[in-house]
Amino acid sequence: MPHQDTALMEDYARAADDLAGRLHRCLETPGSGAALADYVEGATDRRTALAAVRVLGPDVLAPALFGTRRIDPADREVLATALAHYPLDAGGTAETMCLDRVTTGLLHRAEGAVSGDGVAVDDAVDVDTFLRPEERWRPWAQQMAGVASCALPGVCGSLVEQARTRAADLGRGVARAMLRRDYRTAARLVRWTALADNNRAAVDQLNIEAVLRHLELCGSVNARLSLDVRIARLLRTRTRREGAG
Amino acid sequence: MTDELPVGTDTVGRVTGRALDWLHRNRLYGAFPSPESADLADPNGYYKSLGETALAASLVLRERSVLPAGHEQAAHELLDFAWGQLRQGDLLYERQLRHPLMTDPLEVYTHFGRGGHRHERLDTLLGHLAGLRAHQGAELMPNRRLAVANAARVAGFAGSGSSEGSGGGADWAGLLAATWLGRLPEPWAIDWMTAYCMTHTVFHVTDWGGLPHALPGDVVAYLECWLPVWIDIWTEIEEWDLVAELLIVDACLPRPGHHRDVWERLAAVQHADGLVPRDGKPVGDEPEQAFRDQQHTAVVTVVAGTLAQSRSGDASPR
Amino acid sequence: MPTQLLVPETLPAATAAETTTITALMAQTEAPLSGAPVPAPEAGAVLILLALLSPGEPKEPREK
Repeated sequence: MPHQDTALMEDYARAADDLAGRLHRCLETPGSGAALADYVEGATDRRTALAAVRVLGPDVLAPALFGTRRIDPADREVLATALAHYPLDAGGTAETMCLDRVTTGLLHRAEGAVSGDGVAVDDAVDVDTFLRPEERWRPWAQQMAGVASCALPGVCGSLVEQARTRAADLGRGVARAMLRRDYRTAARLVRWTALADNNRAAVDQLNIEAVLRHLELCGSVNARLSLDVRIARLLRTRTRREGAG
Repeated sequence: MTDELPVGTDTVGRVTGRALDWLHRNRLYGAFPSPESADLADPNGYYKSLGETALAASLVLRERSVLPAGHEQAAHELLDFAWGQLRQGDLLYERQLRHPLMTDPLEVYTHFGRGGHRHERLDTLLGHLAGLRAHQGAELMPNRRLAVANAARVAGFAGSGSSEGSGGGADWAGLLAATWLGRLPEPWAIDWMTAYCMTHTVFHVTDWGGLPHALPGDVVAYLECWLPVWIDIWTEIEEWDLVAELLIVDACLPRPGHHRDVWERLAAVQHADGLVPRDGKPVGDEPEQAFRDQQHTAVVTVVAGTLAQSRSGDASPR
Repeated sequence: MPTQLLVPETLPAATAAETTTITALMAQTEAPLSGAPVPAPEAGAVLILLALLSPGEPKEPREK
């Protein structure tokens, strides 16, 4: 990789970690943490800050989705700007298309433009093509980890259905990631397990609560991992509440 | 006996036959360097490797009906060789008499029993010791207690096991419950050594795949779910010895997964002479050292492949 | 707070390198190297305990 690309990668990665940390604080303490607009406004380099927003995609809406912070018009505009400034059409993958579809869909819902069951990626991506139902557990779980930022409230459709019906394979993916000490991947997959309700035996044996604690202990210095763990916890609480209600 | 064993036509058959051939051809490297006493000053583990060779041979004999011609003969020769090294059982008898609480003489003897070798005085001694409260209370790791229970079961010594007053026969459910596996634990909280404890737990409960329905349903479901993960992660880092043991576990299940892709990996790393490396590290040139280092892996490969061929007709759960 | 925080025209168009970098950071691939459990240093001796031999050889009594 040319020198300037390495520097760019480091800058953007650092910015993404910084923003992830802010979102995490926001989720932990309702009302705290800088809004997206404040974040970009206060950044030394707005391009880099916008890039961070772009990279984290749907997760920047997590504070609003979990009800810890409203999303105000300035924040919505930052997100829209980030999407517009960094179109990925040519270089995009099925995964980035899923993520972008969820980001834009959740954004529209936040604006009150769309009602209904939730955002599905199916109108942007043929899910069954890149997440083939007959795929063996390991490549399937690897794919699901890649789109784990779609595991958020307000998302429905094929992705969520696959997570629901292949709980055992999610569990295998989590166990494999934990054993490989790939805690980033484990955290991403745990987000999906919160939505799985078939074959709970497999997920229960995993002891998700212990996995989350283990990830918190092992990955506390990694901002994006910590954010995934926080979101996974919130999804679990939400799913349990909805199940009991 | 021809120079090379005929091997099965598919991958499992080829890998297994060639590993058995290697074990057979190199068996003399497993001979005691000097006559051994009951106290076994045996730092290089010749006794252990003789017992393992006997295990592999005994299972080949048990499953001979599904194996290619020549395997039965090779297994008999391996078993006879090991039995000769143990002085037709005298070494085991002397060792057990000298060290009454040791369990390895029974465990080793059982393999020979499968092949028709018996030692009358040892039978008497083992029967006598099996009834001792002290024997039943021996301080052993949980999976080792299962080893002893299965050896007693196979060799025909009633009364061994952890339960008292039950009139003989082990408390299999209780023994299994005391193991790591028996608790149906978090599958990601396993290390290399615990993995070997788990494999041995399955081996002994099912008598090396001879009783595939001996595992309780919840343990079967647990293994069907998580065994593929363990096979995957250790295949990835080329821990072939452990992978072969995990394949044995698979073959001990009511509905084995078969894992053809893993057997293809083993076939790819198997040497031209049939040696199966224990891991991804290079194997030395010196044949005696190679035997010492890789003999265990050949043993578990032979067992895994033998059982896989026996179970090949059984449908997998997925 | 200004209603239009960022005017897109003031930012130069995203370069190919920037787009590539963002795509790479969005693509959450798994760790390339496994940290799976390997044999511990004392494992060789312990494996002997497991397989066939009993834990420890009782020593013969010393001559008095």
